[in-house]
Amino acid sequence: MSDKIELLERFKTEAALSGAQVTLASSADQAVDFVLGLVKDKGITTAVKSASPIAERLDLAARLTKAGVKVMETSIAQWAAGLARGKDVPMDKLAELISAVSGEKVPPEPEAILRVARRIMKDMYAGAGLGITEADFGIAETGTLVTLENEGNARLAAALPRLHLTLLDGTHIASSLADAAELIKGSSGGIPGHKLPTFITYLTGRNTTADIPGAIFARAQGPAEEYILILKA
Amino acid sequence: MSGKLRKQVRQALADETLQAALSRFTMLTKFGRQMGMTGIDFEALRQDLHKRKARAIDNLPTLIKEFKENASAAGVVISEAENAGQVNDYIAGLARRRGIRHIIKSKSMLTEEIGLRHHLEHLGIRVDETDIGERIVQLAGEKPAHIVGPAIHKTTEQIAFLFTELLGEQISSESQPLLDTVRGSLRQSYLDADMGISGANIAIAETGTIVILTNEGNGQIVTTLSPLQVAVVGIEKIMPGFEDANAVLRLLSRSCVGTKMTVYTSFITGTGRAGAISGTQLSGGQGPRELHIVLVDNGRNRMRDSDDFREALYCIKCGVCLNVCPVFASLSGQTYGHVYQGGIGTILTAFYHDRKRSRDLSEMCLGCMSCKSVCPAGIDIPGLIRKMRAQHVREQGLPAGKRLAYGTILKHPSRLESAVRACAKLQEPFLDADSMINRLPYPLSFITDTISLPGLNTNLLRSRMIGYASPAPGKAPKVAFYSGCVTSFAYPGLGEDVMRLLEKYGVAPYYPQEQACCGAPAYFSGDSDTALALAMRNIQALSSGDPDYIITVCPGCAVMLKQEFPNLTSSQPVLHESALRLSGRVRDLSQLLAELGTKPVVKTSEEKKVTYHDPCHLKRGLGIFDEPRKLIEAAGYRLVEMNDSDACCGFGGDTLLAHPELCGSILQRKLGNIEATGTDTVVTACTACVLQLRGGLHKKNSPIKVVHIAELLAGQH
Repeated sequence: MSDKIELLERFKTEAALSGAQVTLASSADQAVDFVLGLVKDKGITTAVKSASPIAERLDLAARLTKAGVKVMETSIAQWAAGLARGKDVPMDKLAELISAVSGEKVPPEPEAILRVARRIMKDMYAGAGLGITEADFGIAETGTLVTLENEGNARLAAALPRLHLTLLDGTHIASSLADAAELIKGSSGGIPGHKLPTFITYLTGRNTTADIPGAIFARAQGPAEEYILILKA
Repeated sequence: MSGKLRKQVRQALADETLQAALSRFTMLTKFGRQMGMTGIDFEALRQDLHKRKARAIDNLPTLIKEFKENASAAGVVISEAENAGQVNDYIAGLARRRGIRHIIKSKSMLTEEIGLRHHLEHLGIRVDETDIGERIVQLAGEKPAHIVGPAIHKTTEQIAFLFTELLGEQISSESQPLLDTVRGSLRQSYLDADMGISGANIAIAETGTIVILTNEGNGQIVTTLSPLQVAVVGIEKIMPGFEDANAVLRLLSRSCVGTKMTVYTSFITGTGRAGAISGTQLSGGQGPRELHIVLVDNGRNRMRDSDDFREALYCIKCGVCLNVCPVFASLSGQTYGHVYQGGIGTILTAFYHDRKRSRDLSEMCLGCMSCKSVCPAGIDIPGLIRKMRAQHVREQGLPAGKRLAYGTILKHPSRLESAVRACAKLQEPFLDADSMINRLPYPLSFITDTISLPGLNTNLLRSRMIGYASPAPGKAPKVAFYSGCVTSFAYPGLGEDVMRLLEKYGVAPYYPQEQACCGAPAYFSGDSDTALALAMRNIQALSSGDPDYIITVCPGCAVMLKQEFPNLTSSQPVLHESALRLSGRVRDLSQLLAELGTKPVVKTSEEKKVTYHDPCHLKRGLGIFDEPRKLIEAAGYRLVEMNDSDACCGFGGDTLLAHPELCGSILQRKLGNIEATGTDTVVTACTACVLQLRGGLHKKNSPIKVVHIAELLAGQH
C-alpha cells in the first residue's frame, strides 16, 4: 500500500513539474466539485468527452449538463447512441437522425455514416472549450499519462479543445517507462492482426514551443492548460 | 579549401541579428541540458542506447522484414524506396489518385532530405508544415537551421513579416499575439486538409509500430485527423522492441530540450477502428483509414556497409551535438548548405547529398569533442570526421601545401628543426617588443587578423635538454617528458620549467632526445601515413629509458600518445603491444602531480585571483578537470570560475587556415568569458591553448596574462 502511495506522490510531483495542473480527489463529490468549479471558472459551455469509466461513476456528463455545459460524446458509437436517445435504431433511421444534424442527406451505409461522423466530430473537437478523457494509467518516473485506444477520438479530444482534463484512477500508476511497456504489451486492443492497440498516446505536461522568440515554454498547438484529476480510490 | 563556404561563414559572422539569436539559443539550450541531465546516470543510459542501436543496425535486414510483416498485418500499406525520387513519386502518385489538393505535414528531417514538400508543391498541391518552426522556414523559403529548432535564427519581426504576407493583414510582432496568430492559422490548415504526412522517430519491428514525438501537439493532430496518411521512415529508425524504443525516449528529450519526456509521444500501430452502430461494426475509426509507410534507404545501406561510418546511423536526431558545437554557435544551420548541420551533418551530407560539400564542411570541425561528450547514442562524431578526411586523402591525395608540411617536413624531426630555424630568421623584421608577431605580411596576414603569433625560439628545447638525456640513476619514478611542438619551438622556457618542477617533486625526469611531433596535425587532416610513421618513431623514442611515466603539457599530444597510437598501430601486433604499454604510462602533468600528491612546492603568499580554462583534450579527451583546479588552489591562488570554462578556445590547427574568421569568433567568445571574471591571469594546461589565448589577448592589447599550469606551479610567471 505504501508503495502505491509513493508512486502516486511521485506521479503528482513529476506531472506538475512538466506543466500539468494536478488535483487529487478523495471522494466522488470532491471530484465532481472540482470539474464543476473548473468549467465555471473558465467559462466553459461545451465539452467533448471520450469513453471513461470514472466519468460514468461520477455521472459527470449529467452533472455538467445540469450546470449548463453541453457535453458531446466523441466515440462514434456513443455519439450515434446519443442521437437515438439510447434506443436500438436500424441503420436507415440512424442515417435520418444524422442527416438532421449534419445538414446533408446521409445514405444508410456504414461507410457514409463514418465519413459524415468524422466531419462533424472534427468541428466538435475544434469548437469545444474542454476535452475530457480518461488515461489508462500514469507513469510515476516521468509524470506521463498513457491512453490506449483504437478509434482515435480520445487523442483528438485531448489535443484540439481549448482546455483538456484527464481523469485518472489513483491506483493505476506504473513506476517507470519499462513497467509501462510491460503493461502495454499485455493489451492487444482486439483488432485482428494488431499486436498493440492502434493508438498509444503518452502525454507529459502541457504542449510547448520555443519557436517564437520571447515566448519560451509558451502554449503551442494543443490545449492552453492540462488538468489531471486523480481519484484516490 | 572552399572559397564559397568561407564566404558563407563570413556572411553568417557579420549578421548581427543572427549572432544575437544564436547567443539566446546557446544560453537556453545550456540551461536545458543541465535540467535534462539531472537525476540520471547519463553514461549508463547512453551505453545502453549505443548497444541497442548497434544491434539494430547489425540486424537491419531481418528487422525490416519483421517490421513490414507486422505493419502489414495491422493494415498498413508498406513500401520501400531506394532513393528520394522513388519516395516523392510514390507519395505524389498517391495524392493524385486520391485527388488530394491540400496536405498537412508534421516535421520530418527525412522529408527535408528528399525534398518532398517542394516536389508536391511543384505539382500544384498545397502542403502546410505544422511545426511552428518548420512553418516559419517554409514561408521564408529556407532550410531548417537546426534539426530540432528549424527557425532558431528568426526574430519576431521576421516571423511577423512572413505571416503578414501569408494572411494579407498586418500581424503584430509581439511574441504572444504572434504565437496566437500562428496557432490560429495552423488550426485552419488542420481542418481544411485532406491528407497527412509525418516522419517517425522510432519504428518497432516486433509490433509494426511507428513512434512520433512532438512537443507542440501538431504530430498528434496530423497523424489522426486526415483519413489518408503517409509516414516516411528512414530504415535506420527500426529497432527490435518496445524496450529499445524506451532507451531512445529516456534520452531524446532530455538531451535536446531538457525535459524528461517529449510532451506527445504517439505509438501508432496500423489503422484503427470505431465501435458498432446499429449492430454493424464500422470498418474504420477517426484516425487514418489508409496508412502508408514508406521505408527509405537513400544512402543508408551504403553507410551501413561502410565499417568507418556505420555508427552515424545510430543518430536519433536529438540535435544536442549542435547545441554544444562552438562552430554551430557561430554560424547556425543554414551555412551548412544542405539539411543536416554540425559534425553529424557533415557525415550525413556525404551520404545523402553531396560529398564535395561534406569535405568542405569537415574543415570547419575543431575537434573539440563537445559533441562526442554529449551524444546520447555514443557516436564518436569527431572520429567520424577524421575518417571522412582520411577517406578524401586516400581518394584524392593531400593538397600540395599539406603534403609538403606533413609528408616532407613534419615526418622528419631534423627537417622540421631546420624549417623552424629558417622561419625564426625570417620572422625577425616582424617581431614586436614582446617577441610576438602582431602582423604577418600578405598572403599570410589573415592568420594574424585575430591572434598574434609567438616568435619562434632559435634556442630549441631539444638543445637545452641535452643534460637531461637519461634519468638520474637510482631515483624513482622515472618520468620521460614529451614536450610537443609548441613547447619545443615557441615556449622552450616552459619546457625548462617543467623539468625544474618535476625535480622539485623529487622524481627523476628526463627528455628522450629522439622524440618527434606526435603527428596530430597530419592525423586529423587525414594523413594517416605520416601519423603512423611518427607514431612508430615516438613509440621507440619514448620506450628508451623504460620510463614509469611519460608526461605531457599539451593534452592534444597526450590523446595521440595514449589513445590514437594504439589505434594507428592496430594492424601491427608487435608495435601495437608497445603502443599499449606506452599508453598506460602517459599522464598529463597535472594528473601526475595529483597522483604524486598535491603538496605544492611553491606557494604564493599574495592573495591572488586567477581563472582557469579547460583545454578540450584535457577535459573531454582525458577526463581531467578537477586535478588542475586542486593544484591551483593548493598553490595558494583563489580560483574564479569563468562562464563555459570548458568551451573551446578556437585553436583548430588546419581550421585556422581554412576559416580564420570562424576561429576568431570562437576565440572572442572565450576571451569575453575570461574578461568577465575580472581576474588578471588565466591559467590553462595546454600549450596550444596558451598560444591561442596569448595571441588573442596580445592582439587586443589586453593586460590579462596567460599562464600554463607548469609555469604557475614552478613560480615562473
